[in-house]
Amino acid sequence: MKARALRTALVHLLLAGGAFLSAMPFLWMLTTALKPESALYQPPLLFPAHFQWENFAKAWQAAPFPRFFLNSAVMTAGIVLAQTLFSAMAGYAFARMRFAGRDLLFFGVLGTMMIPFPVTLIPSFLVVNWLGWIDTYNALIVPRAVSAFAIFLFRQFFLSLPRELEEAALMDGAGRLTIFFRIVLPLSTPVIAASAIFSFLFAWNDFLWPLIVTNSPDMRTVQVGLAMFQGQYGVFWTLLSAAATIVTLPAVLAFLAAQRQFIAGITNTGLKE
Amino acid sequence: MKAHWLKVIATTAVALLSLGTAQKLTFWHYWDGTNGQVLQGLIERYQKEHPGVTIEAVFVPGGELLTKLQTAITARQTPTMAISDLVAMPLLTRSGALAPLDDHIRQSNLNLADYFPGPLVYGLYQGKRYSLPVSASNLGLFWNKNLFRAAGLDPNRPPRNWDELLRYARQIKEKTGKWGLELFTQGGEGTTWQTQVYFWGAGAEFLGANNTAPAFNSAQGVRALQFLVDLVQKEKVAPVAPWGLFGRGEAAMVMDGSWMTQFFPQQVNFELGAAAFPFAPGGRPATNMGGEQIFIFQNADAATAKAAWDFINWFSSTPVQVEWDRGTGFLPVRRSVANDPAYRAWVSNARPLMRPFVDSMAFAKPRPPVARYPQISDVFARYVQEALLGRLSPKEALDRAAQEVTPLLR
Repeated sequence: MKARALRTALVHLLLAGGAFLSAMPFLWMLTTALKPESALYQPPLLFPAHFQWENFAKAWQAAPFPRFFLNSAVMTAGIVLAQTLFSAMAGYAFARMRFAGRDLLFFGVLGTMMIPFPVTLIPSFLVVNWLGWIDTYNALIVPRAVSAFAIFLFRQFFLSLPRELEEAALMDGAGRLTIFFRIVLPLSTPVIAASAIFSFLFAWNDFLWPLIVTNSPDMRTVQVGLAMFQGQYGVFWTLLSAAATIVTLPAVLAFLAAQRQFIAGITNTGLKE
Repeated sequence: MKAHWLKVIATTAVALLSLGTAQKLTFWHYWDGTNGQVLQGLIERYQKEHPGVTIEAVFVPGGELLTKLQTAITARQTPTMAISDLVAMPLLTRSGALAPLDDHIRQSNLNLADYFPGPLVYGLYQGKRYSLPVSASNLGLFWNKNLFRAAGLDPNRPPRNWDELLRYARQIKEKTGKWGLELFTQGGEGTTWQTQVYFWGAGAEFLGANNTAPAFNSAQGVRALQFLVDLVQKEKVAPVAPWGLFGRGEAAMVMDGSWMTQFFPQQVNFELGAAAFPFAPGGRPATNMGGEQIFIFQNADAATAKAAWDFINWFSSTPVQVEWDRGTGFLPVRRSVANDPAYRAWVSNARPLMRPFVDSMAFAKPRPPVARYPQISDVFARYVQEALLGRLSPKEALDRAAQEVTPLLR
């Protein structure tokens, strides 16, 4: 009994240490955001000792952030919806349908994950430019409408679903699409949540592509807004931290909201990142 | 009579044409915060004074401007004009996408002799000039007057040469226990461009004539690096440590940029001094230089290119540059600005710390304008670190660096 209590205490201690390590960068960001600039060189704090709330107001006004938030929201929603739907469909095809060259094609899709983004940057830009999409939501969303990683995630999950369910539906006369939308997808909330969270974080944090395909301040996203505090001649740490706190908030909230599903999705597909 | 009518028609036609050809210029830059606001103010005034010309300034965050310019060049979707950090100019001039400015400069009688020689080194390629300097910054010495006092040094007398620098640093270490001098030891261009100041100050060159071979492993170069290694290894008055000691009052002296005359006063809680950086006994005053250059892209039609040049010419003029430098805190690129009474009065009253940086422009040296400078800088910084850590002797480190740099200059 005593040994068990000791073990629980040890485990909790270990977990608390891990939790502290994960939370520390956020605490650091928050306490920096609340510092006056004159306290910048003092050691980082875990609890705020200063309350310079005007840093938030200053950061918010330094760039057209309402517009940036709107653009990021539209882009992120578009990417999350498109990536989830298309990747689920592709993942289903790779998991369940039989066609010539299926596995080769699947490995080809996986292989694209090894191509670094800078290699495809200029060709992608040329295509988007040729389509006349510079400074449009199309340029921000369409080139990222599928994700090889999400296809992989969905395929692995679908392979674990019992085939019998689909066969039963088939016997009852359901077509492929009906099976996919009415049987498979409703059973797949954990992996949908996991994939959506990955897409969300990717889209919300993306910086270089939105910067390359937009020129007008009306089409810029929050990450480009953050870069404005990292000047060529010195970083405005207090303002950057304040703005980063505001910009990180939606991502933290989204993660908390989908956390249970997210972890279930990861463990079900046997993936850990 | 007939001739008179023809003249009227011709003048009207010209007037109508000039109205019809309203010029829209796009201008990519990375000037953020106050600098961006000052630029916007100047552009608005220019537009008011030049009806028919619209300048759309597009802000691109500093680190990504070059990537965006390179993408735009490949896709032939360049703006009318842009600026760049001077280090990237060799890459841009070699891209073939920039328009030569020589004819414009000649026709506008722009006096290049009025410019400081350092910044003019950039933007030259195969005998043609493709860019003009529009802003500058350089490096100098900052010192903590409180620590100087605590160490029994005269707080208003900065070290003028390396002997004094070493003597002061020892005294500070001895009397206060704080570091005498902070070096940028984290590698990359940060280490290279600070180390170059010591090299030049000892009479060494970084690359040889025509920039075709390394020259930093000369006897003077070895002497400069030996001085730095001694500060760290033998005298122990400068640490190999993350940057920021000076700001926290942990080191009494530091080499930093002219822009810090703006930031340090708000960030530190001690009295500051600034001076030109000390050089080796028997050496020469030297500092390194940064800044931006402005240029026009090749694909503009003649009228647009002319309109862009007219703006650049106006922006480069002495009165506008005085206003620009006062608003932004950039250092002058032209002597007529540095000597302008209103500008000098502003420095003395509003930014006294900046005085030595303005005066240092006369001997500020450019980093060699070679396309692979970033790679060369990384190699050099890595071997400087090896020497500072005592893993290689200065001579050995510089010889090995030279070996690796040579193929990068081919």
